Amino acid sequence: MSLARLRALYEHHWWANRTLLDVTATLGEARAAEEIGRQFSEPSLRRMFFHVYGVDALWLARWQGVSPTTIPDEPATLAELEEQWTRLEREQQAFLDGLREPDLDRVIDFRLLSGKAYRQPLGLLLHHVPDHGTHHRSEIATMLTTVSGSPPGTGLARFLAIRSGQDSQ
Amino acid sequence: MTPAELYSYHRWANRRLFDVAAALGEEACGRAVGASFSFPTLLRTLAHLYGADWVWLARWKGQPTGALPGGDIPSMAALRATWDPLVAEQQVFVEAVTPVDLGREIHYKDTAGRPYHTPLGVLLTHVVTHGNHHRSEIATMLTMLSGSPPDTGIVTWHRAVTGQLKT
Repeated sequence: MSLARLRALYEHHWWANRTLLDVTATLGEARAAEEIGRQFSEPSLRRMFFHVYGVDALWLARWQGVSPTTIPDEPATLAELEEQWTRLEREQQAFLDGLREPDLDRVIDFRLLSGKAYRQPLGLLLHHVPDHGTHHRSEIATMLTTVSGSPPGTGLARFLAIRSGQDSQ
Repeated sequence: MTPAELYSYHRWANRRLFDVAAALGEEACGRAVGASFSFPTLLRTLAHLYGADWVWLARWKGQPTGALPGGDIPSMAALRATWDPLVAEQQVFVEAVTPVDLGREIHYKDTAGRPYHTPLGVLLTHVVTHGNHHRSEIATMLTMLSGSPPDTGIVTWHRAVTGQLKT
């Protein structure tokens, strides 16, 4: 996958996160913190968003040669999380802007939070983060459907149709 | 990552969850587990993945499409028998894709008949992302029915195929 295509995946990732965050924000902080179901990876909407944010932050650090041993502190509110997230997106953008095509084959040595060591190419890891987001956004969509109603689609095809002017917002 | 590698991952992830679901039996796969999901049962969700992959492959080949097929597949066994030939056909297609093909504009109509055009490379990524969305639902459904299934992320796939992980 080319760097241009990976960058487009991140634009989709940021847009999709924002679309679902906006829907969740309209429900209010109390609703966002409510436990919805133990079958989900995280029990509440706010914790699920925090997980996506936290994993994005972990991977960005690993790509830059640092393997954190703890996840970032969890903000108390969805509003605070959104603020932190905007800063993280800028850092992700700056990292992507600094890459050249051959960097995608560079092997990253990193450790999981558990300490287990892996070696995987940067291009694959860059692909993984938006994929990971899609997995949890699917859960968020199911949670939102449960508490209020089905949210707008955040699929890649819809994003591209909007961005290329073939669909309205 | 090449389209061939990406679809090797897609096939692995689909198969991993299909096999966990199938092991629960036809009754469990046909049981409605929640109205909040895109489809109420494991069978219908997996059949939707088949149907969407079928429609996109036809669009990439410039063939006319209507509604997604697979909505009336009655069992997991029938789904497997219908899906396997598509998996093989999709693999042949993606393994023949060249870098130049990735930029080729595909003109297609969605299921409502609206026309769109999008580069093939983007659509190849979309089908896998679409799969991830529904595989997430399948994972939640399996958690409700029996227990959390094995991970199907692309990083886990890569660890498996490079011998960094035992599967």
